[in-house]
Amino acid sequence: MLLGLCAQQDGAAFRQLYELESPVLYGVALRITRRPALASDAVHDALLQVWRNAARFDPARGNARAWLVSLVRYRALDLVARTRREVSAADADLPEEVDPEPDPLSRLAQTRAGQALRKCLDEVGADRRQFVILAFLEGLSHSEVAAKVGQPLGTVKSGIRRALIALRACLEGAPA
Amino acid sequence: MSDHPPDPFDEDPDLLAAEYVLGVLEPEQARALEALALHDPAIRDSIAAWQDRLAPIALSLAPHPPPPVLWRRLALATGIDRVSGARPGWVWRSAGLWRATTALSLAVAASLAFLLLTRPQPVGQPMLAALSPSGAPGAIFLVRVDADGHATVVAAGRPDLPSGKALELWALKPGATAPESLGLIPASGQRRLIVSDRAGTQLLVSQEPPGGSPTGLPTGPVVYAGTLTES
Repeated sequence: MLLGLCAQQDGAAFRQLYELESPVLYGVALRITRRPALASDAVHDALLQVWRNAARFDPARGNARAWLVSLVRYRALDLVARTRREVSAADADLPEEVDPEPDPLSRLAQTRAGQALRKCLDEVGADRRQFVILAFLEGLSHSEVAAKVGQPLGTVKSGIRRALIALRACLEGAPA
Repeated sequence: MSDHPPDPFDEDPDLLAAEYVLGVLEPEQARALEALALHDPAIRDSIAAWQDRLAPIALSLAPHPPPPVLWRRLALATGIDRVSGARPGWVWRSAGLWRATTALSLAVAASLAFLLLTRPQPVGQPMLAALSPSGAPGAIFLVRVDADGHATVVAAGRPDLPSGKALELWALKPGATAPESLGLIPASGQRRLIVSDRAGTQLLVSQEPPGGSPTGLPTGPVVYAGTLTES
């Protein structure tokens, strides 16, 4: 509803959307970028896409909040990837960053959708769960996850796929 | 593409969509899937379904209030706070400005001309700041803030930027103890920013890790500073 009004350039609706969602969106962007300046840019760019109707939300295709947070997440991952490229071009190491939450899953069980996901992630097994979380929140590719956890690329790749297949089955309530 | 035996999962487009949403696909694979999704509603459905499935991970992160400047940026970018009645032909003839920039180089003069000519002037006096190394003459950055908050930062000199560092601009309000980040600025060329601060605010430039300070406060040395003054 708010999203539809925003796409029609309703300033009050946009402000309301910002008031409601910006702390969550900024929290996500900050967790991914670990940099206030980049986090601000990610939320700014994503919400501007919403306003300009450059990104269209289709209510038939899912949940508005999930869609919004995905927009911010993709933008944040882009910005992090660009910064990494610039850093490697400058031949420097990534400096120390804001400490991430020690257990990003600790609050997952607070919503109903989160509870289901938490339960299904628990069934996936610790290793594979870690691969999925690293990829989702750090924006790491298969090979980067493999390097980070010190496991072979093939193990990580198939582990992630099996985790995704198990998650899909578990969340759809079908036997894995 | 690899030496591994053929993978049965490769035939499952829904799984490819899952890997796309998770962010593990190589960039060229991701672009290919995006191209496919344009013409294939089933893939769009898959992507949306996976976004829904995985979003709770992101939504469960601790919320964090964004800095107030973020809304101001958005309000200005969307035109929600538009200032009407631009005054064309406003002549930038300011004693303060010329005092601030006396005896500066041609590059500075060129930057000023750039600042002058780039956009129509909104109502009200713009403010200016010349940022220089502490205790030394010669502006390295010039900042012009229009009455509606649109600001332009121009590199007028050659900033000191060690390899692997970035420059971040900060505003320190009169009487405040902690500066607020205004964003990253390039070592050459110019960047548009939103600055809501008024005259008397100190603008600082610090050297930070790529992507900016991780803490929200300057972590590296403050290399340039100047004060916003009415022009």
